[in-house]
Amino acid sequence: MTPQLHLDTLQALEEGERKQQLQIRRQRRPYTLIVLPGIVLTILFLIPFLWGIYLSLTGYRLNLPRQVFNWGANYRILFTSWYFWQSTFITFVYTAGAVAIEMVLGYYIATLLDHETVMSRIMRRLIVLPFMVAPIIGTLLLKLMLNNRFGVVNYLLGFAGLRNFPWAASSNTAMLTVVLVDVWIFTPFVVLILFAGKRGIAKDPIAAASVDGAGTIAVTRKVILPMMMPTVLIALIFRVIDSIIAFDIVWGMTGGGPGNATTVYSITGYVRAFLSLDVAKGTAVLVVAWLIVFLVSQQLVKQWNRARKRLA
Amino acid sequence: MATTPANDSAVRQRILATEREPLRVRAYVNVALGVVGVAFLFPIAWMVVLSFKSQAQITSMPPDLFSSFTLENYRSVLNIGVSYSSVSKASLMEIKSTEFLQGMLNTTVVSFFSVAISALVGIPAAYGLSRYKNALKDQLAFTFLSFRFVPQLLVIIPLYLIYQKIGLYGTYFGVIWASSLVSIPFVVWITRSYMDDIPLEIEEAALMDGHTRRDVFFRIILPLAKPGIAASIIISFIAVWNNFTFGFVLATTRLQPVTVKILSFYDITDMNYGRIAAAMMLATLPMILVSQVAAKYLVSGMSMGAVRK
Repeated sequence: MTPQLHLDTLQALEEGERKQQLQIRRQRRPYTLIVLPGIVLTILFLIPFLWGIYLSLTGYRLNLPRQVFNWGANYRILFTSWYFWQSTFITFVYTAGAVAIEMVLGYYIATLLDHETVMSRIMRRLIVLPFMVAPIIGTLLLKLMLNNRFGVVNYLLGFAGLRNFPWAASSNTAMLTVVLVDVWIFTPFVVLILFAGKRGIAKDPIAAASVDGAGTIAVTRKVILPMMMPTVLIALIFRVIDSIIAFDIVWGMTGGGPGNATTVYSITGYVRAFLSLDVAKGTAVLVVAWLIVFLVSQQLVKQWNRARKRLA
Repeated sequence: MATTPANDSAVRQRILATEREPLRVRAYVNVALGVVGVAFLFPIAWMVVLSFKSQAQITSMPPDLFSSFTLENYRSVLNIGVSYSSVSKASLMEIKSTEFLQGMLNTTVVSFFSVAISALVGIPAAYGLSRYKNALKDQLAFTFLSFRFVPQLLVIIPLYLIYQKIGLYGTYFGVIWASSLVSIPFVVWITRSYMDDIPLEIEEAALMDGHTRRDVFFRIILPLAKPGIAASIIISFIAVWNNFTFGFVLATTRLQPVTVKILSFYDITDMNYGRIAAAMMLATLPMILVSQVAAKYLVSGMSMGAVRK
């Protein structure tokens, strides 16, 4: 064994040790980086959140702030009361309606934007605008336009022979109205995500399939959709979740009315907590909404992971 | 040399010509996007038009849209040299105007500071999540994002009660603190996605050369992640600016953001369309400008969190 070799071994050993140290440092150091934000987030989020869950298990009222633990009595009352099930049904209709329209329309618009034309270049920039307006302001703007007397929409519909469409003023059309507002504000968001997804997928398989004689519909179904699936699911996850807990749009347009026609979960929770002063039942409604969001998003994330694996 | 550019452009022209889609397709796309554009941009265009029209012009049948324009509505919202029919009306409008301006100021202050807090807390967290090699990593990152999934009111109602107890109710700090709840998830999620794409080897090389972790973070990671950080800051800024629920429940009149103040212009007894539109314009314009100036970051940031392999 020559000294030279010996030195090499030593160096190699040292190198290994240094690498190991680095490894340890890499693991420990970022950990402390998470700790500080972790503490902040805990204070910021977990305490009020957990306290909210706790409140839903007490008899807390704004005018009677005593926290007497009552073992889920609120939930028992909730599950046997009509307003809760009505709210559940309304939230379901709102979510299904808004998300279905947004996904289909968003996918269609993203496909259009993927072409190279004059309008596609213009609209790529402008389509985000409705999404830039605060939802509450966008809602009030549409409310202005849907106004029965001087609203421009009914004025224009008059030319088509459709006079005095009641929009938010009738319990029959209020749901349609809030869903349309949601569609106006959030379709651009779906478009943005799906368009980015379209840009990211490989074009070769599509071209190959076309050359092999597959029709447009077959190419879309068999080639493009599977590649787009993870992106579609992400857009879906965001939209489903945000619709289940929606508040601004419905509050601005109808406040939950007329009657109870648009009382989605967040509206019911707000009304119970601040107008009926029954904080406990208000938070109980919101906890149910959170549980539903949690379960639904978990399922969707599972699908998302599966779609990504299928591609890999 | 002189012929090269000409040749170049000729070649490019030919490539473009062959790559261009058939006229039929392009015509269809243009028409379809025209319809989409009218449907989605009409409300915004309408807001712009209304804000420059007098009440009489708007409420006449048919509405008189293109004859003359006025700055009256903006002057009224900002309370600059407007004369009203009566003294009581004048003082009422003065109050509304002051309230509105206060709302704009509140929104600006709250957005600025809560995004600053989020960046301070969220960027190191994103780095940690991006580099901490653990099976829990993705789970943890998802948890950060999932803060968005809790109904805002479920956090706001307890916060409201806590704030009243500990005296944070009615303070700027309270509203800012709560609003960073909106922005932190965006910062963490988007920045982390971006940092994931920065190769570990760069850092390792720097560490080998004897630089400290801090140096690596500040001198290498931060500059490299700048586009991702910019995107996350812009998106979270928009999210906080446009938020309604936090200010609606947690802010006293003095602290209400413009999204809440705007409700006071929506007065059933005195429904002045032009004035409402002008107020909406003023509250929205900053975000529209941001979206156009930072379009690149907006799109990349949106897709960064979402469209990943």
